Amino acid sequence: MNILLVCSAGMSTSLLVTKMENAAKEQGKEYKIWAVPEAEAGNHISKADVVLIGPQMRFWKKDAEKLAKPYGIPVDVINTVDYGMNDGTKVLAFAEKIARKG
Amino acid sequence: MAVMDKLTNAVENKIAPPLIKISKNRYLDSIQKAFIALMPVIILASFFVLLASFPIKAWQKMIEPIVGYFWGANGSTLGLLSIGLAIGVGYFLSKYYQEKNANVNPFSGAIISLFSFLMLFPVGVSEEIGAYLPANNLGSTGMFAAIIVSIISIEIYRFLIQKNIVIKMPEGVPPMVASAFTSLIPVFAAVTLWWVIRFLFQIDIVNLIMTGFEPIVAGGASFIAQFVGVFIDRLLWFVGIHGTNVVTSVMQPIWLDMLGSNVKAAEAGLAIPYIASEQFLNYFVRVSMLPLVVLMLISAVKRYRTLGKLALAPSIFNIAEPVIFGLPIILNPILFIPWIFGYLFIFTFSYLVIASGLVPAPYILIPWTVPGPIAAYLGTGGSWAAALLSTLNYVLMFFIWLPFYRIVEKQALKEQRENE
Repeated sequence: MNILLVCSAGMSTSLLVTKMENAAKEQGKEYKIWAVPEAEAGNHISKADVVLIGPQMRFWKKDAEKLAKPYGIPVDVINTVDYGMNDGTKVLAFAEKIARKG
Repeated sequence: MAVMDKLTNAVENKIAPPLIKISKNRYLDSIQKAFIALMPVIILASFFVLLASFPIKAWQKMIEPIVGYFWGANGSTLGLLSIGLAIGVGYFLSKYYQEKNANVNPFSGAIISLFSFLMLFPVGVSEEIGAYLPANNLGSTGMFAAIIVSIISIEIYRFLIQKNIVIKMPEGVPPMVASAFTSLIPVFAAVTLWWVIRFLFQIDIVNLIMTGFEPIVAGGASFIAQFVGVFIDRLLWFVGIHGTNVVTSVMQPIWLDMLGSNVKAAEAGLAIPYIASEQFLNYFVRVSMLPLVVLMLISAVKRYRTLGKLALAPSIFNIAEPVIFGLPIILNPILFIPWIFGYLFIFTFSYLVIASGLVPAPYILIPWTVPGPIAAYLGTGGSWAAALLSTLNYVLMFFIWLPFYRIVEKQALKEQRENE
């Protein structure tokens, strides 16, 4: 599964990428997880299976949904507490959950 | 806490949505994307300015004969930024319209926008150097002209394409050739308009727009406007919205105008005209969460210690999200006061210190992830006083946070004991 994380500069979400990669590795899953700034997201969305947005950029969700719609990719906002605590395991589980729904 | 609920509700549902709507407006969004695309060039310019003014005597002496070369690199990048901006706005605005009509081509848009803008700078001829492009207003001063000319040109372009006022080639003509003809009428319409204005009517529209925007720039660069900017920035962050992102989309052209003027003044050896620049905000005001991280690292609350360790490295490099969402600061009524008024205090304090002449104003752009004191030192061309002011602000924020943090910590400690 390919998981795309998006925030303003792609900085704070990139912290989460490492944590999620570790969680995925522990569970024996080979996922591609990467973070980009909002302005570049348009070039990356088609390569993702699921798009997660940093909670501080949640106002961007509607635009993201518009970008993701042609590819049928689910988009959602990461829970603030998990985001703050950089909880890779929980965010990974969240990504899997919404990917299944999508 | 009914008051707090009301406040949060008001920010989240009343204040934030219109601000976000403004920042997501197609024009401001295109301008912001153009600036993001130009950022490497702006940083390159700043790097050369830094080299030209690097505060080591031996270095200064060594480069003295060629110091003009370093300023020259700035002149050909930041000094010509409006050209890049015209291309960028033309490209990204066309890209927006491309989603509505596939015949709008971003590259054609960029070209139309570029030459529309250049039409306003009649090429001159001098005996010494031959043909030349007058570059005085192609830098930061021409930005508003570049933006407005680009927007109008792209509006004409996309209108004609959407209304299908184009030259249609018969089937069988290769698509490449056909598309070149498709944009022929729009190019003529958009670029010729500027020719008529600039050459036929002899209206110096760049100067006109500059003069028109002068009050906006002067107002936007003022203490009050930037103070309000910081206030909105913090207020939005308080409800967990990226306030800096929203404020930047409106302030960016003004900030770059300020930066351009500051660099120009520094090159000429004059006083730095603008204090409350984006650089000022980054080096002195939006200081990192480090004071809180230090408090959390020595906390008796286990969750705080974990968060402190996790947030230490990001905080050193000004990434605030782990603390903002982890502690959390958002929607925390007790931390509301230091979060909003602490930073407004630091803003006012630093402004006064610089205005009084004790510390020089920054004029070199250092990327925002560089720790405050280092950025302040480099950004002022090597002022220890600036580094000291930035450091002092970390300390001040520490003591502003402290009493409020203690209350939050006490509650967390109580919860921890109850759960054990």
